[in-house]
Amino acid sequence: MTGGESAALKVENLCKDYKKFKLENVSFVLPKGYIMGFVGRNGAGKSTTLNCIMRSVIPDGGKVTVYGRDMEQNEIAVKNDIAFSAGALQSFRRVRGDEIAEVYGMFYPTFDFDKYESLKKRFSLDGSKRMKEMSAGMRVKFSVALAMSHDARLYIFDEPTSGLDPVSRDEMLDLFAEIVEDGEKSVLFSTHITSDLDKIADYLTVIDNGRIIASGVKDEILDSHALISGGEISEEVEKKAVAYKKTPLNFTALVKRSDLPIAAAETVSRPDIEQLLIYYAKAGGDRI
Amino acid sequence: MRTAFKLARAHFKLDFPKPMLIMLLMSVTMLAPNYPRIVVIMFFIMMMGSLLSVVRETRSEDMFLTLPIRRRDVVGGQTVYIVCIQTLYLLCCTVTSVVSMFIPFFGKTIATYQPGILANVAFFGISLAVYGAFNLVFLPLYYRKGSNVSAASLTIACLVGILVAILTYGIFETLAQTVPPIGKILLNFDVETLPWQFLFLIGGAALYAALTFFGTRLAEKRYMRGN
Repeated sequence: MTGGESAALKVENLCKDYKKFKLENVSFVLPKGYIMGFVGRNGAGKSTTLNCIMRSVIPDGGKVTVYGRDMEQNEIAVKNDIAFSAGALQSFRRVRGDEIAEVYGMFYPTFDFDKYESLKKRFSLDGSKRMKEMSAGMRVKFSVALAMSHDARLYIFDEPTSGLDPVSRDEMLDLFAEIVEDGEKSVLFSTHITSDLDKIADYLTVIDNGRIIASGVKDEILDSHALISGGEISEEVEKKAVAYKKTPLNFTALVKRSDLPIAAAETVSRPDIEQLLIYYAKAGGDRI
Repeated sequence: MRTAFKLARAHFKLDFPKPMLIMLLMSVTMLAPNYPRIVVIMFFIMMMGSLLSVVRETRSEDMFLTLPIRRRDVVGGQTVYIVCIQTLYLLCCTVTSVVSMFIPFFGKTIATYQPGILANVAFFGISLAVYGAFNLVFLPLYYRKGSNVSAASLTIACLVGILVAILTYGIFETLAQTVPPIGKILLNFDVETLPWQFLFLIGGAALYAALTFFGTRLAEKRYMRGN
């Protein structure tokens, strides 16, 4: 993937240096018409990256291109093309949902109040409620409904499934699938709930400690790895494994498919995203 | 500029606690005999400190940054929000000062039974100049760490702003007491000095606009730098 016109979002060498945390050369490409999961453990740099993309935080370096337009050069136009939800609306405790929608309506020329009403209905939200009267899950859904009520092509959601019950989570994922149906719109969403990614993501970007350790087609990333297990761990496993866990009697290790076969491996299976994430984090964030 | 007005409107919708409107009643102190006028206009700063602590707590500016605006617009929105409140408060003071002209008090009226500068037309020019001086120092100090406005930043900005405002008023009071032609304009309600009083008003308004503009520009630079 080279980006350009076929890319909904292209992030190149994004850097941000805080005293205690550093985002280092974050790069990835989200093609048009796909869903990308942005995954990493707490504090890995997911929100910082998304905030840098949205320029709520000004990056120290790097470039963000949305549908071929440079974010820095065309900030207002590009932001109009993005539906962004930063997660649960935590702060406006005494403000009613509909009042926040009015504010959004003032800034987005394409804000569609009918669409907002239908999203509220779909999520069973009551806009006349104050934020403090809504549960954490309702606030997340409300934030997503607000973000989606204007005409956008790129949808960026920060932890959109966090705090949601399993049914609501599934509904949210269905909504993401509907967004990309036309093959033009794309979704980037961050999460640490890896089962959501297993269900819906076409592409996967993994971040750890401010560095991207993998980005690409989800199935390709998973297919290029194997989870092996067996009895006593051998020197070969220790040498070839990305990372491993062992007890006196058995071991489990994540290895690259290209390193198979390994003599000590009694079972070989395809890892899921959670296993991939855990083993790479254990390996200290080596690039996949 | 249009964006700044929209952001100010958003501040009123999301951040303005309606009970805070009661603070506008502090303008009624204009009706208290022998009550220093400087204190009356300073009540605004108490009101603003409270309002901006709400802005800081709601972190509405973080939300604004995700909207289709430029980063620097956030500061402009904050300035317009402050200017609206300052104007509203001064309008309330104008009403009460007019009322004070009709309340008799020991052979005078409340309006004239005062030491120092009287609340005539020129006084509102001076008040605007004082608010302008306040804005000039307050805004850059408030945003001294960029978008990360701490409670300390707000407190320091308010304290320094109050000091500068008092100093500015002090300069006018000193001029009124020591320069007779200025005293003639600021220390009475004579109709014959009315054109000069209006000149003070226009000059004060111009100074207010200029100082607020420069304060905003400085604040924008700091806001852009730190995030």
